[in-house]
Amino acid sequence: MNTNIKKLTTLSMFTAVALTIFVIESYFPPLVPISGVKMGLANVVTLLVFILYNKKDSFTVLMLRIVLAGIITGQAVGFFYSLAGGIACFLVMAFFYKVFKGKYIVLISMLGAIFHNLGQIAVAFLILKSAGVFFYLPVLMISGLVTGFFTGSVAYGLSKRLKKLGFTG
Amino acid sequence: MKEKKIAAVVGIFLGLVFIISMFFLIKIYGTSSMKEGSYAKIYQKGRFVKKISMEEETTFIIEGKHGKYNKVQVKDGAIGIVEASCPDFLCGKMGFLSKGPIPITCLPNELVIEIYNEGEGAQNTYNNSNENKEAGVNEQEEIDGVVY
Repeated sequence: MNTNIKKLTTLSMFTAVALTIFVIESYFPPLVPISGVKMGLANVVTLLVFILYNKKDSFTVLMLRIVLAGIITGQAVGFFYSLAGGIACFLVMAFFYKVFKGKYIVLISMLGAIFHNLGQIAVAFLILKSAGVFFYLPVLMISGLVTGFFTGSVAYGLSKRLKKLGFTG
Repeated sequence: MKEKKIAAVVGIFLGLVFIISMFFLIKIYGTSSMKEGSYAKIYQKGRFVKKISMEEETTFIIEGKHGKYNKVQVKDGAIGIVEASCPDFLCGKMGFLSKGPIPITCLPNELVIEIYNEGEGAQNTYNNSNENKEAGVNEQEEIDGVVY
């Protein structure tokens, strides 16, 4: 029981952190004026919970963050983009985390980021029904590789330090 | 050892994604593939709303549901969004475009502006489904509104 409460509060805290990062990031001016090009810093938390705890907890934190962010920002359209991107990214990361047995976090993060953007392009195509959105693909792939490298490195570094502080489940 | 090999393959895959993306990026944004567009087509939620000549000088508003709107301006042979209800205003930050094939999109308002080059037919030749939709647009009458 005691450990459950500890885990519950820790995961709630991680959800709050992810949500805060996500909302603050949405106020940042875009580097490139194309929808979907953003840092994806909230993915650091998804990866971190994945490394420190497990697949299930990470997915819970991810879903809570997306749903709560959808409610807070009030963007119904944005919610579907986040959901598609988030799930695509998570599935790919979960698969390669298993394949690599927890190693190569940066590679996993980069793969996750590009599949996040692929998921978003797919939704954009379904909603807008314009094949023109595929012209954004090269920009989104490159931005995914760069941001995935960055978020992966941050998550890896943080996970090492947080493990020492006892953040494991 | 096995993971190392897979990691190398993944690394090569990511490298290829980068190289291919760079190639297309240069190709799409490079001046050689860009042609002056002579008309633009505006789509809302995948439905054709309006075709406009790029030689015109006009400003109009495309209205959506729940007070959503985009103020579109055609000026000096270029088209752009000058005012919009969306929170991020990324559509407006894309600036004024005079050439295809990259469209102007407003995701929150589900608006797409595609620029075509006359004479060559549809510059985005893949877009046949949208062309067909255009024909049936009068029957549907589902356009949320165009205001001048």
